[in-house]
Amino acid sequence: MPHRSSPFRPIGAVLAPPVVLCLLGGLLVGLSYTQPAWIGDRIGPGLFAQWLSKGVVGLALVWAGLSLARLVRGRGAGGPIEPEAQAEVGARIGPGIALLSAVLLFILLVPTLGLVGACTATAVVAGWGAGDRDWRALAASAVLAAAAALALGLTLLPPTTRLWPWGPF
Amino acid sequence: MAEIAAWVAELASALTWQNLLLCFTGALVGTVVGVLPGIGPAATLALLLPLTFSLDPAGALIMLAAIYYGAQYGSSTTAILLNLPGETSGVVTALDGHRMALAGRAGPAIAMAALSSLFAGLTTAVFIALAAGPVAQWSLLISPAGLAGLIALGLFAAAVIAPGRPLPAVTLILFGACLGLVGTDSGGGLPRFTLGVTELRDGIGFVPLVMGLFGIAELIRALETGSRPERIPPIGWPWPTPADLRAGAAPTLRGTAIGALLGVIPGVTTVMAALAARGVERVFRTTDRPLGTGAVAGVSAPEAANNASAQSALVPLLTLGLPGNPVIAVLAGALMIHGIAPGPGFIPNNPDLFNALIASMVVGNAILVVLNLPLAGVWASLLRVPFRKLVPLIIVFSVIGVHSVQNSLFDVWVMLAFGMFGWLMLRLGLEPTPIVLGFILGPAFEEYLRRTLLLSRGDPAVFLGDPVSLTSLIVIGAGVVVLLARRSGAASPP
Repeated sequence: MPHRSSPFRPIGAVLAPPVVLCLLGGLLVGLSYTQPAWIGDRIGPGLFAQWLSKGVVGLALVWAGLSLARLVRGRGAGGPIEPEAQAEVGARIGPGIALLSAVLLFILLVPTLGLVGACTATAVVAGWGAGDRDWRALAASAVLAAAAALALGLTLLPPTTRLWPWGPF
Repeated sequence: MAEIAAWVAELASALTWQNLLLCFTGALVGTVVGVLPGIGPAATLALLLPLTFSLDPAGALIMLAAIYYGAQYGSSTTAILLNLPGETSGVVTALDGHRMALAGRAGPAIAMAALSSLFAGLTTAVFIALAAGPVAQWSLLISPAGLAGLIALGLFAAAVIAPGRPLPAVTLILFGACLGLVGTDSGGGLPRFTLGVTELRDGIGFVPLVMGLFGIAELIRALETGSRPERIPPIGWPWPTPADLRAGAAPTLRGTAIGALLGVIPGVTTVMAALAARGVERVFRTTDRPLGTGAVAGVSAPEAANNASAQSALVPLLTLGLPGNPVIAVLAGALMIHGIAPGPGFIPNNPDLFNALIASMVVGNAILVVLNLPLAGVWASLLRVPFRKLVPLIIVFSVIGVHSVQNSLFDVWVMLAFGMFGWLMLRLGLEPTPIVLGFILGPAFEEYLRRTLLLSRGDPAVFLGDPVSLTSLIVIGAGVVVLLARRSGAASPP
């Protein structure tokens, strides 16, 4: 985690994980109440879902409270403030966005270009995201990906798989 | 004697040529994965899951298990040569192994690692064969209440023992269990957590979930944090001297025992077993040089422990249905995809599958020694291939794999969503493993809970009447008390 001088940074880093889970848990609590907990004297589909989702919210709140208390204690003692969440990742988000975009591109292109074309485009974007800036290297990745898609499509995948833009879907 | 001969014959018959080939392929892939930092065995298993769909269950299990323990072998090579373990368990081996390499003894270090792993692998295979049967028979007698208690205990142990703090881990397990409930309720046929999406009525697919959480997210993490060495030290003759063998014999025995015993506890990872084995070695006097300065014991003990624990972690899965770590969770998912539920009844109902797995462990460990000893230099040179060159192909294989499971683009959307979520978790400093454990065990827990309450007509006191369930509850309660006591002890001023 990059070190910043802002006093709000440690609080954000410490509270973000439990708050995110608390919000997700809250969403699940809401959804769990759309189903009955009991049907007559039998357990309904909502009971366990309600227990679990409330557990997520409750534990996330306890986690946030304990983290906050630890943070306050650390400041009061004049000691170093150590965020609970020590992410291993660096500040760069480019590779992540590129790799996720590559997957998204595959989803968007398969219906129109077919498997081979979509895989080719996906490989180019993924290669770019991984740090390849040489067009020859990217072209090599694209050719390899197309060959792999074609080989898998012809051998392992069902015949209904659309390999080309003009094939059946 | 006749029984043992019959058992050996049964094992041998389970080893078909196809299974041997799959075992070799798994060992090869596992070694490559272990060598290359950036993509661990859990992510690799997730990525290769779709390829196993066309195999029979035994073949799929053999290949995936071989990848798992193969990664332990491969990791030691780069840990020793470059101080750069491809898998976390190699970190402990690197402490002494890399010192040996720097002193010009890389060959003997790699050889001792391989031989210790081989001994541990073979011994643990026998241990599993002997221990799993009785445990499986006993597990058939456990009531639904007891099974619910055991699942709760397994999840609690996984949350408490695993690296990191227990509270976030328990929260994530519950969240994973919620994800496991998405779909049609098995009891009443009503949809849960589906948001009105028709495709979610069958639940969230296991393959897209683990591919997103482990595959995509781990790839991103590897790209954000990865580094590669420039120089590979010479390996020399990869064979230990008689003095090396003497120095490594007792630590190998101790490491094997520690690894095999710790591995059956849910939540204990291979790196923890390796650390424990190294810790025990501190008590004993090394015969060559002190620990930490290139001692053979510092290589033999952790290598034996990590390989033994990797294999014995299969015992709770195959007998009780408890996956204790992410790799075992993916193996459990693979079995379920093939229509086989790991847990009580698995071994009695699938003796051929179990025998094939044990036999493949014996052969697989031998294959790994052959692969790792003479070819150590080749594996190390793999690190010269820039990781960015591999990423496009890994992504393409991932999307094709997920898409091919049901020929559904919705699954790729799910993988994308979990890839984003996994990446967010990594940036928040959270590990996704508890989510997968909760995802697998949550629905099973609900099923046993439902059955228990149905049989007891809704009376929850039945959990206190069942001995297994009561014992599980007591252990969980004691664990919570110990955790709270330790926490308050740490918080109070000295």
